[in-house]
Amino acid sequence: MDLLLNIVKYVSDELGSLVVLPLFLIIIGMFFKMKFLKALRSGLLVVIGLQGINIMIGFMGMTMTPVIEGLTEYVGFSFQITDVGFPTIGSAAWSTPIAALVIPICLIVNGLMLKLKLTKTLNIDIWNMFHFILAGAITYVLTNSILISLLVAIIFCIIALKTADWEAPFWQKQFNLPGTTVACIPCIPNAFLAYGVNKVIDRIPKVRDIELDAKRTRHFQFLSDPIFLGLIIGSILAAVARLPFAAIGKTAVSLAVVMMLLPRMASLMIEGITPISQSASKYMKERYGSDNTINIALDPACGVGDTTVVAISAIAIPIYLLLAISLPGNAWFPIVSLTGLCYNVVQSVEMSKGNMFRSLICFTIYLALHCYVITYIAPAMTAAVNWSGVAIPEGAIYVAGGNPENFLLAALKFVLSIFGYSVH
Amino acid sequence: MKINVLVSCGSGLVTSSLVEDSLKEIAIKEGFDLNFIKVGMTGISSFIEEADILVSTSKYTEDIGDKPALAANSLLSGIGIDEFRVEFVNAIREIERKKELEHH
Repeated sequence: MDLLLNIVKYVSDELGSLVVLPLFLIIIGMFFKMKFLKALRSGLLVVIGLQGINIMIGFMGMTMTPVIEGLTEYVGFSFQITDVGFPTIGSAAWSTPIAALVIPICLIVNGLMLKLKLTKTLNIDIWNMFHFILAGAITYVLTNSILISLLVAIIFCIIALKTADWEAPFWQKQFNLPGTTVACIPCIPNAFLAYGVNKVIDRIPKVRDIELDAKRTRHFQFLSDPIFLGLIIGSILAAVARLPFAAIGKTAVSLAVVMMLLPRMASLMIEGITPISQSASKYMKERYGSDNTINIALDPACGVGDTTVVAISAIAIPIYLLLAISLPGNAWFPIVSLTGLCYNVVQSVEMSKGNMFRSLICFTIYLALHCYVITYIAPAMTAAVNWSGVAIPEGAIYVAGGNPENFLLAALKFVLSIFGYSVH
Repeated sequence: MKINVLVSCGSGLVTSSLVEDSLKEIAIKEGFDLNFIKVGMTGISSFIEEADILVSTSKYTEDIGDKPALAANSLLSGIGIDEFRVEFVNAIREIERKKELEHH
């Protein structure tokens, strides 16, 4: 074990993700019976995506620096945290040296638990294992111990499997997907919150009967297009930061570029991971999938097509921006993450039984809390991103994404701080 | 004849890539000429005009006119994958036929 940890340390400190990441993916891919050339291509695509992300983050830093300076000087906003978006955070997690250990270990833990009948869930949602990696990576930057990090990653993996077991009947009924479930730990906090808020609304006469019409939000939907969103937010921010007229135009277009291209770069990385993920899930399905009582865990994307979810994801954008500006003590301003809100919305709608008014109340409260959670987790998140080799934009003190698992990571950071571990 | 397939998931990044990968395999086997557009759930309304068929990871409940819409979760779970394949192949053949007629 010691030798293994030393190897990981050498790899993380000396080689860096540029070489290690493709190597690790090629090994994993070939273990799952991929052909060498296909595995090589996947491994390289991932690094190409990673470099693309870094280039775009450099561009984003250049675009945002004068804006952030202007906002601090003239308005007194202090947005220390730059939003690089959840795909970037996910990609960063995949690029940390610990990923090479977490992925196989989580697959083994899942296999063991199935054999011992401790779970009925087979988690083949490989990309989303970045949640476990991220938890491990944050633990690593706080504790400097690979062993504790792996333990935390395993705990997250087990929690995901157990909640997937619990959620299976609800999920299968709601979305009519027999034999499946969702092993999505990030969804847990919002589910509890929305459940509680609905219990409160139930007690308020009149308010509990309010319903809104989803169709009326349709003209908000253009806001979900990253191009328009970047243009609008860029021009407003630049204007408020009192940049000269020409710079406002430049900032607006540049931010549209960032909003469009940053996720595209992450998409390249995902494209590389996809074939490996497909072979891994095929391998796991062949080994364990023949048992009919087993539920296969899918990406939560399988539950986001609901009209109310789509409507709230759009209408929540201006609400989120207003919250970020008006909440005292908040250092987070959502930009790139605004287009991925739908993943956060699902539980608000699910627990409100599709009632649009209630979903909106639940989600607004969730977003307000999320601002503070991100403000709290950002330093540790930034350290983890730094460890992964993904760049931090110039002018930004911290980076973060609007990932729903931030709530759990914040809890993790809090627990570790009790044991005396904090960002050095 | 090129057929535009709109593939959607939550953000148009992750799960839609998995779906695209599987659809490409089917396309190679059947000799289909497919062009993929990947979007997030909220992007469907702006791209559906350019597409001939929608394959979404979840049931899309809004109106997309008379274009065929398939739910692709079986491609991910493997449950009911053969039925999906038949459904998809038939839908694409139907579109090919229609396009052929328009051509003449």
